[in-house]
Amino acid sequence: MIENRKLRATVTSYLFLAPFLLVFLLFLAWPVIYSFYLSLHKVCWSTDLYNVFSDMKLVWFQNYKQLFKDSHFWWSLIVTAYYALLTIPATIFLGLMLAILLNNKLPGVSLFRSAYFLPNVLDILVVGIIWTFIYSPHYGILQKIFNLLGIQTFAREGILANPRTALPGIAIAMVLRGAGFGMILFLASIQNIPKSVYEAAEIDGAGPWQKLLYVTIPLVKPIILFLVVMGTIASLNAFTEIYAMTQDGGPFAVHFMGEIQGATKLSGYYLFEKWSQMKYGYAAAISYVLLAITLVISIVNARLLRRKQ
Amino acid sequence: MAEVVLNNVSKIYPGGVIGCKDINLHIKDKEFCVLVGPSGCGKSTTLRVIAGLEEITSGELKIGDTVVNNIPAKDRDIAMVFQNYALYPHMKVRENLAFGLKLRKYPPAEIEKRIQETAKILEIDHLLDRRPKALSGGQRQRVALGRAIVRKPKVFLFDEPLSNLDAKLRVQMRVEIKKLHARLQITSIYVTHDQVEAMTMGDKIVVMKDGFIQQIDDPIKIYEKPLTKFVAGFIGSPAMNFISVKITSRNGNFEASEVPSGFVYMLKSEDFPFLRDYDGKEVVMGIRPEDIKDTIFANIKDAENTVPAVVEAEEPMGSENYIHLTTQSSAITMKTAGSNRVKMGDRLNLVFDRNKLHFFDRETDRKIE
Repeated sequence: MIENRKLRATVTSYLFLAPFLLVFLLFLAWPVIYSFYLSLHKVCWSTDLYNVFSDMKLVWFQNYKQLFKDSHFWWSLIVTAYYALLTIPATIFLGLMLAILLNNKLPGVSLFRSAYFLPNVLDILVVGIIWTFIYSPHYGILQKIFNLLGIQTFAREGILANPRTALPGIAIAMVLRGAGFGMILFLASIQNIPKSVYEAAEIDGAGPWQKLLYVTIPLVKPIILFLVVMGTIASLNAFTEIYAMTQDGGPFAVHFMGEIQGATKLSGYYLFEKWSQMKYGYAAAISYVLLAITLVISIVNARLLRRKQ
Repeated sequence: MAEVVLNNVSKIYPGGVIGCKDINLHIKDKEFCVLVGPSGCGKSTTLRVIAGLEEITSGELKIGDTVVNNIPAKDRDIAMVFQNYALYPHMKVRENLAFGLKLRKYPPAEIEKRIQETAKILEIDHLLDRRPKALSGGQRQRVALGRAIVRKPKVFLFDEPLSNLDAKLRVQMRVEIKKLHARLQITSIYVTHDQVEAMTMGDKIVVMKDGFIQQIDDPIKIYEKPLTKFVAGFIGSPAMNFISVKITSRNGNFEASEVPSGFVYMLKSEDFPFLRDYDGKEVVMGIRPEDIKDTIFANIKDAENTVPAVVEAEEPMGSENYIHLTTQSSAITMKTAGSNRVKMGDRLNLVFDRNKLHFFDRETDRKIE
């Protein structure tokens, strides 16, 4: 009797889960497994354009070996690290500062809170295109401001076509878009800190700066760690902003491992490039290496968080 | 060590909301002063004003010889214990104790010495490497006390520090704080809504209501000679009984007749000469539960001046028994020995201790004397 009831409860639970499980298995689990299978193969599109998987050959870890010798891949990792360095600390800093400001009882606080969060709701592609207009050397508002100030450095090729400024230019756009998300998380965390803790610190002799340094920042550390991991994953997967704001991985920057490299060719974009060249096996191998890097970072973060707790 | 002086101190919030008004208070060096009153009476506001956590609207506040109106909290050399402990959750107990000293740039050896001393006094030396969330409520409160005493400040401020503890621990900590004060001899200002805490701990009690001070005195005087009906009712448990009576002069003495109807109580004019001005007027007569006897339990024979009352309920506490009664127009509580048991509906003849009667003006609520 009891077993029957238990069985029925289990079946009911799975029936409720079934719609999601179906979508999950079809569109997430299966592609994950299949892309690993794909990464062990060489896919040759030239034989049959309409069925590229028809005569793929098992090459085992050949794609991975080739990847480690690929200067473009290593460059993409370097540029990704640079992009992460440009975006993550700035996003966290800006988010935290906005949260601290908006934690005060100022007039119109809720309006500012919504305004700062709004860009985060917009699609990256939309934000990217808006910033392409802003950065445009011909009709962009930024160049107009620069003209007023007498700055002509970017007047000819613009910010996004200059190999030195292309990636920082994208980073600024993405920091301003992403800071709102960090702000909301920080704000929720700061508002959970009892007022009396700040008052105790004040009586203990702490000024505003020391309260920020010794009370606020340590207590929002889990949010900082979370944003670091999310930022790193976002950097490794960054594609849309590069696609929207620069062409073919940006202006050429430097010679690296004997080849000329694009200034904004991040790992996510390089993966897309290989896929668009129909090198499906190679692209799958790249995605698995990126997955491994992401996993390592996530595990390190989880350990750090657990130690803190 | 320092005295704390408040001269006409007021804190008025935007919109005219009174935090505290015209506070005149002189707390002597080494004194333990308790601010007591119901919620919203202004006791915490007064304490926060002294701490520097609230700006003073008007008046003058002195700690020691210095006027501190414009001196920030961190420079007032005070320490505060909060109701919710306000420990730094990310710091170990040791770091919590050391924080204030580090900010004041004490040498590490001195910091460690003070931590050890404090931990020994409060018996928290085995907890130094734990974080606050690994401590019980009582242990957290000890750490909060430790954080205050480790700095050896001029003044200790306590904002309802025992309210979050269970009843047994509260009694224990009450004694510990008293012992600590006796040992450290630092001027202390303690806020509580609990009149038992106020009575047992304070050298001086300040009773507050609606932002104003009602009375400042030592605990016994506050209990025995309350200046207002509010103080009389707030201090003491069970609370003082209040009976509306009309004073009438008769044969050179006074009759106090229960209003609108009920018993008539005779008062000798030489005992209550101040009632002469109230002839024909209504006043409030106050009597504490322990100052009411019953002719049977107290074995009083031939009592002339008795008040008949009917038992409504009793609360046996073991060592004593609270009996709730009604006269014709009033409710009365009397406190008697635990062995004196009654049943609902019993009729008792009550005898009031004439020396312990209080009279209050109906209009002003002030004591008539």
